[in-house]
Amino acid sequence: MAFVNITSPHVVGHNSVTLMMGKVCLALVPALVALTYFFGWGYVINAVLAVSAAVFFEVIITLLRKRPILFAIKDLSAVTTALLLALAVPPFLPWWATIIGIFFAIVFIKHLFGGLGHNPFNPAMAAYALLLISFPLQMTTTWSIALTETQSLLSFGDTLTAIFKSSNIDSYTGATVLDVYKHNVAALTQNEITQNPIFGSFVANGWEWVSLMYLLGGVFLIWQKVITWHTPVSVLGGLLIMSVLFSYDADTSTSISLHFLAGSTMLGAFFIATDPVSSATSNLGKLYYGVGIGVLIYVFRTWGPNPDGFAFAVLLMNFCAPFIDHYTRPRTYGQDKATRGYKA
Amino acid sequence: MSELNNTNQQFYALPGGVHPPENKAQSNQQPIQAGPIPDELVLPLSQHIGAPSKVIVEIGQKVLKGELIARNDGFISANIHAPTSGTISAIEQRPIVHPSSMDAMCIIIEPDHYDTWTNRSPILDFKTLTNAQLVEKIQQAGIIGMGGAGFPTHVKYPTKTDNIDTLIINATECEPYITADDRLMRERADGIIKGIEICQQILSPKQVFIGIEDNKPEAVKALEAAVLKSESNNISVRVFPTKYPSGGEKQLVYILTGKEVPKGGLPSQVGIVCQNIGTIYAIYDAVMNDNALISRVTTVTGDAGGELGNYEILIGTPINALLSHVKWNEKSAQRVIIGGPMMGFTAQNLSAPLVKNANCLLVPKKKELAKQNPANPCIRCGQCEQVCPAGLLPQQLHWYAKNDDFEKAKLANLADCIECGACSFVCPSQIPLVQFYRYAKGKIREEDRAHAEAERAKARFEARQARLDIVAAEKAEKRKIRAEKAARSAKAKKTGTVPDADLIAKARAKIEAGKAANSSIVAPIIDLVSLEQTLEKAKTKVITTKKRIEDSKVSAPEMIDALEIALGKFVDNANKAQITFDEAKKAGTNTAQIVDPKTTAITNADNFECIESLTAKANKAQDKLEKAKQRLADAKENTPEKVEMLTTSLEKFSQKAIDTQAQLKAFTSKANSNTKASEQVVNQKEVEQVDVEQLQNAYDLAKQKHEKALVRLDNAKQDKPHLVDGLEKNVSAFLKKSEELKKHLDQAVANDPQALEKQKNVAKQKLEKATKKLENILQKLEDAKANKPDLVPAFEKTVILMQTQFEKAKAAVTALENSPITVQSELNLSQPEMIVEVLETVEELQPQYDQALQKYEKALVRLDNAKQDKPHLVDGLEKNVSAFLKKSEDLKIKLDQALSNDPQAKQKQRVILEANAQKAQKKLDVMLSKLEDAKANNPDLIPAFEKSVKTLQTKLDKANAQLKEEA
Amino acid sequence: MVAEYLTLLVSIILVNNFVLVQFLGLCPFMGVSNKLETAIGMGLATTFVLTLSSVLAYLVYNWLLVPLGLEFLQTISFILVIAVVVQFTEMVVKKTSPLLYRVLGIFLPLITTNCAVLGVALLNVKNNHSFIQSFLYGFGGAIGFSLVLILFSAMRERINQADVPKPFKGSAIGMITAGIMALAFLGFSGLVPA
Repeated sequence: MAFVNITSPHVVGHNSVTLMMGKVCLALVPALVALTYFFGWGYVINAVLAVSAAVFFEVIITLLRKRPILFAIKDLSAVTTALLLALAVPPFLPWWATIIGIFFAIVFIKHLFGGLGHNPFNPAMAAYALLLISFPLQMTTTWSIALTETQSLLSFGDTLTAIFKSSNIDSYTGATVLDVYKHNVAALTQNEITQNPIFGSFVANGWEWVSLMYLLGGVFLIWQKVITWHTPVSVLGGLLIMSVLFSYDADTSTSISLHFLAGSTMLGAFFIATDPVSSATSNLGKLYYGVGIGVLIYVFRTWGPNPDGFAFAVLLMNFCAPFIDHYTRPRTYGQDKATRGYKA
Repeated sequence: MSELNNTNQQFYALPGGVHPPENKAQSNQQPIQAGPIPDELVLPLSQHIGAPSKVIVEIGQKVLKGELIARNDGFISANIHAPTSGTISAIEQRPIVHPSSMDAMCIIIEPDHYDTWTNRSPILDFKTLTNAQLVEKIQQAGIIGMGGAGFPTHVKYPTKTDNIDTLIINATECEPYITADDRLMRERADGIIKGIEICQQILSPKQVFIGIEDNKPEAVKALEAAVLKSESNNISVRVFPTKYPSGGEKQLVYILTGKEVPKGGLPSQVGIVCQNIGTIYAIYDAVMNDNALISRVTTVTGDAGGELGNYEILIGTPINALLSHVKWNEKSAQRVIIGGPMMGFTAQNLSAPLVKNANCLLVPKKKELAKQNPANPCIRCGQCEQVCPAGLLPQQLHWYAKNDDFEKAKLANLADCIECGACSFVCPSQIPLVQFYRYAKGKIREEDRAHAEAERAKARFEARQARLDIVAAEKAEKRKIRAEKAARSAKAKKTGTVPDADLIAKARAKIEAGKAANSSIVAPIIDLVSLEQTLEKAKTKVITTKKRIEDSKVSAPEMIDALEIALGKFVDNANKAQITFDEAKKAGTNTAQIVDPKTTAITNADNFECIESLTAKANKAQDKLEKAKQRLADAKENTPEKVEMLTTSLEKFSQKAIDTQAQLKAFTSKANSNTKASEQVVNQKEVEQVDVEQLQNAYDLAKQKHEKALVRLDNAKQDKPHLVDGLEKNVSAFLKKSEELKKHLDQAVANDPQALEKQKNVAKQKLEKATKKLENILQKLEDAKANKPDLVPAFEKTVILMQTQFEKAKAAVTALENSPITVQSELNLSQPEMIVEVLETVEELQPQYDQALQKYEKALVRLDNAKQDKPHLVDGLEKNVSAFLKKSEDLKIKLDQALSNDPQAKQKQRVILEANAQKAQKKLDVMLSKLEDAKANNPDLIPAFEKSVKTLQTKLDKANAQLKEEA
Repeated sequence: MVAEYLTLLVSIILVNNFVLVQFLGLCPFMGVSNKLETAIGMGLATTFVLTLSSVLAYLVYNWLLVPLGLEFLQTISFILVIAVVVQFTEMVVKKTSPLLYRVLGIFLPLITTNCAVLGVALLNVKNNHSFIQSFLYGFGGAIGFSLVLILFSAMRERINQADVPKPFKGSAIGMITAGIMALAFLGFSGLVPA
């Protein structure tokens, strides 16, 4: 009888991209729950919108490139990208902005460069940067105010209306924590600034929980060996070093704890910077890469015009990643020194 | 009793590694069972790394179990023994187990099922043997690495063992499913430890590690017990956590010692020797029991494998024999894997044999081994990098292999990949990574081979260029030397110093050789004058050489040696000349001694040759003088600074001119005196010893020379006017000589009654010569026609020449036969054109006369032309004209005579004239038609043709006129 | 003082990067960035040229044109200065590293037409930079150019091996990448107060 003729190895593990991406999505769920709890339905609606748009665009492109559709959809990479973008943008962002962002991310950044595994830039972050540059008003004025005793959240139906019809929801939107701190730090001291109700009892109302959820999700991913510890630790480490160097005095600049727990630091460190396709390859390279992102995040936050410039930080380090790869090759067994550079 | 000392040493964690499901429980529960004796045993000649073994048995030969049937071929090769007793049934190509599924040469044994052993000599104590003997035994037994690669074991035990400090026994068996070593350790631990002791004796390492994973607790126990029993105290059983692929040699070395085998190197470079535990047992078996390696323990496992377990099979058992022995489930088997699931390969042909390093037969069912899904693109997740035991970047390697970027792949150390399969085990995209690396490795190998070829070709080309350069340089050197010599000699001529004595000697030798060739038969006449001349020459040579030596001492010291040698020669010559002269004087001026005729001939000929060369020299000197005068005049006008230099050179040239003229005069006078002398001698001798033949020959020679001189004079008159004088003198000299000789000859002929006979003889001799020559040349022509067609025209020309000569000789002979007296002097056969031949018949005379007339007319035309633009040729041409006129008139007289003699003359003449007219007419017609053509097609040829028409018309008219005249 | 110069450097290297923010010097940027080695060589050459020509342009402007009242000749004289410097650089490169010379090919003399070089000279005039400032401006601009060039070439090597759709292969996707990078560099805007 005819036997299968395959060369070794004959055993494969049970890993798959779907599984990996699924784990990432799963890790994002607690954060999503926290966000919904504190900031309303906006994130969920945005998530659903983004995911459907992403799948739609992916199908179109796969058809255009004459590739099997189900195979392309099955790996859940578009879903993950959409989810990440939805969590990054403000909850009340108009729907068309989200759609444009998704379009840019899926079609331009991902498929134009070759599809899954070939994109040199992080799609979600590139889309975020695009939206920030193109629609600065929408991107800065649609942040939701956290749930407090005094502040309530918009209902689901109203949120839908706000997103799809851009209705007036001024009472529910406000500046982010980082924004407030940054704009007032020149004039006021820390104590004065933190009188602002959005700061809450601990650091920032609601945001600390969200960051915590992100952290938990990230640890889960490390445990599941979806990501390694190098990138997140180095991002946080870079940020820590910079903020220790320059932000020791909370009266003159944003405090360290605020840096870590407010904004999208945790999201960026565990989910966005660790995007494997666009980051550096070797472990040492990941360290450099992460440190670069951390430093740039601090630079942009402190001296840049945008309150949260982590999208640009990630993009800039994406740009540097291939160069870092050339010079951070690991040492192979039997070698004295690693071969670095582009010449043998 | 030794202690267990494996507690303190740490192990180094292997970087990376994966944990595939072990699946060992299926086959390690039952003890090792005996394998079957199949119907035929197939033993490939190449079961090991290295050269295939050489067969030493023949078909039909009966062998016993353990008998040597193939010997190792070279150092890195192994013996092969018959696994059981039986008959060699064939030695042929059979399918073997190899990923390529190719055939190889195998020895086929048909067992007789008696299983009789050959003679064996077991020993009790291996310590009595020397190391060399132990290694010898290992080699004799044909032991190779049984863990997988199959490296001949005896090679690993070098003669110098002082740098090995660790012996590592690989009992890891890290691959899933395989349990052969496990059971071996459990059941035969004592033998294994004995084997280790044998190896210890050979290598004397500081420590012995048995590396084993912690998923084999029973084996660990057994080994530890055996170690306790053994006498050596540095064996330790090192247990470390199970991880694939810790069993790789390099990985195990790192885990147990923390050292890394250098890239591209061997473990022995870090003082380590690694052996598989099965090999160790085989060593024990070979040394102690004198059992050759003829069987091994193989695991049969997999859900479709029937009765799973470990079997001790004979080497060479075909796969299907073993499978049927274990009653495998053929229908549900998906594939048959030789080896483990991570690094084994599928078997194509189940009749292929299991060889010395086949440790497992894995027969999975369809769903047992996870199916590999279609590959996603690489998402650069980095999982592969985390598990790679060699520290590579598999995703980059995959990226480069996929894009055929082999340069970067080499940079990323693709060659260090051990193809363990850990990376593809964890890849989420389920990319067949190992296959990509194999592809890239193959391509790189191919490229390197092509590159090496190109390098070799380039080296060859460069060597050839170098060789050609050297040859060219040598040639240039030689050319330079020659040019320098020539420059030096030219310079010497200018400045008055003498050129190289060697050259002179060479030139002399040449001239003499030439002269010797020329003068075949000469008059053996010796004259005192010539002797005197020779003596004088020799003396002058001596004097001049002495002077030259003086000069060269100052200016060219390197020539002194040569000049002195030459001086010696010249002194000898002078003495010889003196002696001969004295003797001749003594003997009397009139009695000639027949000295070597060649020398006299040479001297005689010498005179005339010398005249020519001297004349040439004189004329050259004259030329140079003129040129120098001119140059001086120029310089006086334009470049006054050169005037002085030119004046000195002008003086030199004038001196030289005067010298050469003087020489010439001296020589000519001498020559004339010589001729006179020779004439005198001839006159005097004619009474006594003058020989008609010799005179005849001499006369012929003289005539030849005269003719040649005439020719040369003509040539010179046209383009070398400065030589004309000298040549005219030559001509007259030769003419005189020939006339004198003729007179003597006639006299001799008149005196000698046998003259005619002699003359006839001479003529006959000449005829013979001519015939021979003709035959020769005809032969050569035939040859050329056969082999060298491009030489044919030259030979044909020579043939024609020889033919004319032959005919002339023949004619002369017949003439001699017919009319004895009148033709005596005219035996000269060389120059057909200018000799007036004796012809009687009208048919011959008439064309001759016509020709002569033509020549006369042509000469007239030439004279007219020359009178206009070449006045220096006028004299010569006038002479020509008169000569031709004379000739034609002579011929006319003869013709008339002949005509008057011949009754039919007129008719003959008429016939000839008519023929002439007809010829002319024909020619004219042809030319006219050609002219018509030209007018139609090639108008630019018309003027030429019209000219030809005119000339032909004139000829025709002439012919007609002649005809009318005679009519 | 130092802080001021540092700010200037940061400004010209990152915030107002010549290639990605001011969009000058795109020709060599796209043309030489296919291989990392050539990019590094080109970066060095451009640095040398830019610094030298910036300084020389400053000198020519302030010591020759201004005293003679010939400021309107600035463009032509700057071009002349740049051409001289480029020619000099070409000769130096040819002598020291013929391989680099061959590899760079036509792009070495094309530095003359690199609008970044002329841009530096003109911007120095426009911004009334002092000598040190001009030098730093030129040097910083070149550093920014080289930095972006080298990083881009590393990225380009990677993109060239990616599965880009056929209509976009080659320079098209390179341009798009440059655009996205410019987008990223916009994050620096406002970092340094103008």
